[in-house]
Amino acid sequence: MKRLLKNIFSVLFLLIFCQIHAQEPSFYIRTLRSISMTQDTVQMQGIRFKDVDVVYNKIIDFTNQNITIKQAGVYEVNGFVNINPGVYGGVKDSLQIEVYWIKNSGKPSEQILCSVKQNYTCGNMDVARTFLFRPQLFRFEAGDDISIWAKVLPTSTISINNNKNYHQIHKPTGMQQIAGLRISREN
Amino acid sequence: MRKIFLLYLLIFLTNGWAQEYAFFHYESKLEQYFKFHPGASKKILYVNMDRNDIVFNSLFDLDEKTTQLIIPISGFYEISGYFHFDLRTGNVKNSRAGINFGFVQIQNGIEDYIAGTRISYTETNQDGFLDIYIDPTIVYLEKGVIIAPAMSTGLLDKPIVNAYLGCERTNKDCIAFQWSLKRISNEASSQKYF
Repeated sequence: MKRLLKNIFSVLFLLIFCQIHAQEPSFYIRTLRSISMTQDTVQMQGIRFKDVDVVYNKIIDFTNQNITIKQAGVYEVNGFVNINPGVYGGVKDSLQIEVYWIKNSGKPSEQILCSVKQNYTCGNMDVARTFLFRPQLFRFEAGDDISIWAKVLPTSTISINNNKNYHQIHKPTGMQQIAGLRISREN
Repeated sequence: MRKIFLLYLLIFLTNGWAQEYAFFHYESKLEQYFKFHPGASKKILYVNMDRNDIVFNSLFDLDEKTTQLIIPISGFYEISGYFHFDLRTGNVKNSRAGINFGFVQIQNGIEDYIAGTRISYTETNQDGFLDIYIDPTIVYLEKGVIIAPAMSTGLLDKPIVNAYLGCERTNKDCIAFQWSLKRISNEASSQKYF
């Protein structure tokens, strides 16, 4: 009887082990919380996530809002950010914003993984647009961190909505998604 | 010796079973028309599907009477998709024009986008087909929720738009719409979409 119980326990342990092992080595974080930007055409502005934004995480060290690779390897990265400048311009006005996904920002090994520029023109400066980072493969080392930044480009002829209570990083009308990032380790 | 062999077999079988993620893949050339009404940004229009266009399915329980795709097991899923889409509208210069493309979960009659992207239209991209991608997104889905590909106006200043999901006349064999759903973990969790 004792032996039978021992065997049953072993099988159950194996099944649980295999179930855990079956989880995909991925990370997904998204915010449903809008974020404010400032009118600054010199500095990039960080787009940060919080602990509560983590949807799924089997591979990333997410401490102090930093997204850090735990294990060297090849990873697929993709993401999106929705930005609504929240202004109205004339027919001659335009507003350019660029979003950057950066590895090791501010360090000697800094690398822009992806940058996407959007041009807002008359009639659509008060509507959110998606900045899309299409899936790409990258080689990362343990300790590499990934961050997202946005910048109002100096070519803009009009400022973004400068009210500090206005949140430019915002959901598009009719949809709740604001910003998201997926990192998946290749097998 | 026999016991060791049986144990090895058990490990092999359970590991093999666990590594196979339940998966659904759909690819279609089906042409479909959509009418978007300005001011109806919350009105969600659904993409029709044909069971003959299901390329692979080890995820959903389907039979001849199935009309909705219902999540069979709670867990984390990875979803992605592609729309070949032509807005077919008048001039959208100096106006608001955008369409939200993505996937909706329907739970207790409430529709929520779980993955999506917004395409903003201007005079530079309003004419002709665009390739619209819903890149891989990880979501937690509860058993019993309905999953459906969808689109909505977002914000549209122009009159009714007759949009088209399909292929160019010169490229009738293109893929007009495709999507995939893969269960990546059975662990219990929860996720808010609103």
